[in-house]
Amino acid sequence: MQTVRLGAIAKDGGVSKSVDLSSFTSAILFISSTGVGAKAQMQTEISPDGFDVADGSATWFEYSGTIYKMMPSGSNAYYRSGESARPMPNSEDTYGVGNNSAPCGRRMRAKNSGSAVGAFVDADDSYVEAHRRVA
Amino acid sequence: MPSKQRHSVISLGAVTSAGSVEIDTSSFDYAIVMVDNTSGAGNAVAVEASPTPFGTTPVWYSVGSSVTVSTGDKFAWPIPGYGYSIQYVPSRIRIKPAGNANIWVELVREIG
Repeated sequence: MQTVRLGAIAKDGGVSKSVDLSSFTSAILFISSTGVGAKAQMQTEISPDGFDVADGSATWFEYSGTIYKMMPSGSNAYYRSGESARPMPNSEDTYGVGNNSAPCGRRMRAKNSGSAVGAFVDADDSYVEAHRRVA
Repeated sequence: MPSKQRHSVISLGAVTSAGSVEIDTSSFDYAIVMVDNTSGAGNAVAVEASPTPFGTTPVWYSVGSSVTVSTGDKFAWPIPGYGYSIQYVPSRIRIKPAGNANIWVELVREIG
């Protein structure tokens, strides 16, 4: 297991640095945000390009739906301020509920796709915890 | 086996429904498909699997539902995806878009 701190990620398309997960098969994204009635709308992205290609030049593919939809219960649960941890990728809409066994990509990054307007906020801090099976 | 070998990425290049390419995924546990739909509206991308081994003529079976990638979108999802809680990839698959798309497949295996 290994943990990488991604730090703050600004709304309106802010992205984290890319993370090398090539020696892991699953990962968890930790997000914290503040502000009542606001939410950080996060996604994960993966790239087929190697790390010899700079983050800004790599081709990135959306690999999850919006993570605020994954809050566990309550129609407005995703509006709460605080912390959330979710497996990467995750999306009830795209991959089905309970789809937590999906693999992580070799090269991943987190993206805050929350709009510049409306009840969206920056992610104040974020981490990726990566896992592999232990023999 | 080095842990770095858990992931392998292959480029299928530009793929059409008439030119889909089969992939030997038998030594991997999971797979992710990445689709760049550069042209054409609403490209429905299907994943198909065959139970017959390589060297035999495959009969293809659809796996899950097709995923429609909008024009200009770059979207990735695990195979088989769409509501499957167990995500192990079949050993022989092909990717079959309705239109032209640039496609990559990332293969992932557990080690130890």
